[in-house]
Amino acid sequence: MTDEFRSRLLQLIPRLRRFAVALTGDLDQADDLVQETCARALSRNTQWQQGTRLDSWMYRIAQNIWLDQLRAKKVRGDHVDLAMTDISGTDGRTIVEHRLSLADVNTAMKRLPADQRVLVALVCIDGISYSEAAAITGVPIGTVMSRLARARRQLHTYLEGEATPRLAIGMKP
Amino acid sequence: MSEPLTAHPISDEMLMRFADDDLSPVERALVAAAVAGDPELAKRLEPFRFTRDRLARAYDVTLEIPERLSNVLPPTPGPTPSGPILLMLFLRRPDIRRGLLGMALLILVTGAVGGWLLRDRLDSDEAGATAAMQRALEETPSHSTARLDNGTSMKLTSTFASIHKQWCREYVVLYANSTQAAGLACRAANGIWKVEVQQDPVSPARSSRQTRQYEPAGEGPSERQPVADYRDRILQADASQQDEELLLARRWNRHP
Repeated sequence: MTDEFRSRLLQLIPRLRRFAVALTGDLDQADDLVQETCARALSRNTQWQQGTRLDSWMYRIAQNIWLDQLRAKKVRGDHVDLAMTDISGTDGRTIVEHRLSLADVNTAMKRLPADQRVLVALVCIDGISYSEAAAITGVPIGTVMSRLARARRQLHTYLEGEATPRLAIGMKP
Repeated sequence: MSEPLTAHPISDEMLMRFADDDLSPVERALVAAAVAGDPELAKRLEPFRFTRDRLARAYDVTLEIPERLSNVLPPTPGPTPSGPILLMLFLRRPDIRRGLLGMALLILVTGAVGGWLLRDRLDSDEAGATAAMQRALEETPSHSTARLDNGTSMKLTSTFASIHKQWCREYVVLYANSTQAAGLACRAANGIWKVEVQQDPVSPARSSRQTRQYEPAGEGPSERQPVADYRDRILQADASQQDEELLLARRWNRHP
């Protein structure tokens, strides 16, 4: 493993963590996902080709791990993470605003199908292009756009068009 | 993504591309005119703007290190030899407890982000302001002031595109003891603002005389202010107020 690979991987971790939070809706699960993604990337670093986007490669790994986990624990349901409301920062007022909206947004995101959640995380939250999102998810770009448009309309309805959905702890979304 | 705009009704996908700034200038102008003259179209556009802006911003806090873990960090984070070491440690210990794993990961994130951002430019007193500086650089319009912490604030003074295809911003950090320091930061491809040059804190009266000279490799000492000098070296084009408003609204997701 080259120092450059290791350095670039470390620089990606904040974005990878944000992506993982968007997928899982849970800080602990997100950190576990980032850890496992890094472990897998390090063990397979020779598979990454110089000159290609490392972020896309890492997102693809994270997405695959998360989808595998979803399938594995499908029968166990999901839960809302109370710790998500315990995010703190340097500006009290702003953080309170972010904290509340993050909890609401995560709850709404959990109502989306997994494939739509991945696309929202990639395009809306991380700013990845449609074509790159298509490459990461392995679906045609037309499908990416139609799924993404549907997901965004749905999120807007959840968060603006109706009372914010709130799930009870341990309740399956 | 170069599908031409035709006389057909504007689809939701087209509106989404408009919100994501994915259209050509001609297509963009046509959709903008159509939206301006059709409230129903504007209503259909709203979900795409909403998810691009408010929803996306809600996740920005996850880029930061939780304050409750700040005490476990070394007092002066270095340029992260600890990051790779911690990473390898927890990778060798697959049976380590979940809580410790989470903490190790967050220390790693702190080391990586803190070390990369701070490098050797900021001293330990300034380290606490870094997360707030990120937010100020990301969200504050020029000629406005953002509060950081410990009585420190940051005034953004200009935005411009650099020859390195990055967005850059000039700023002045105003410290509680009435000293101030001019600086310049550029936004890397990973969305993190990197301080390229920053003065030592000086009193406003002395701010025109620089105390720490910035000397790029191969260049001799400069008699000009280092921030202005560096800006001149990398300036491609100034961003207009309209450009800046669009950049802030689009979370800088537009190539310089």
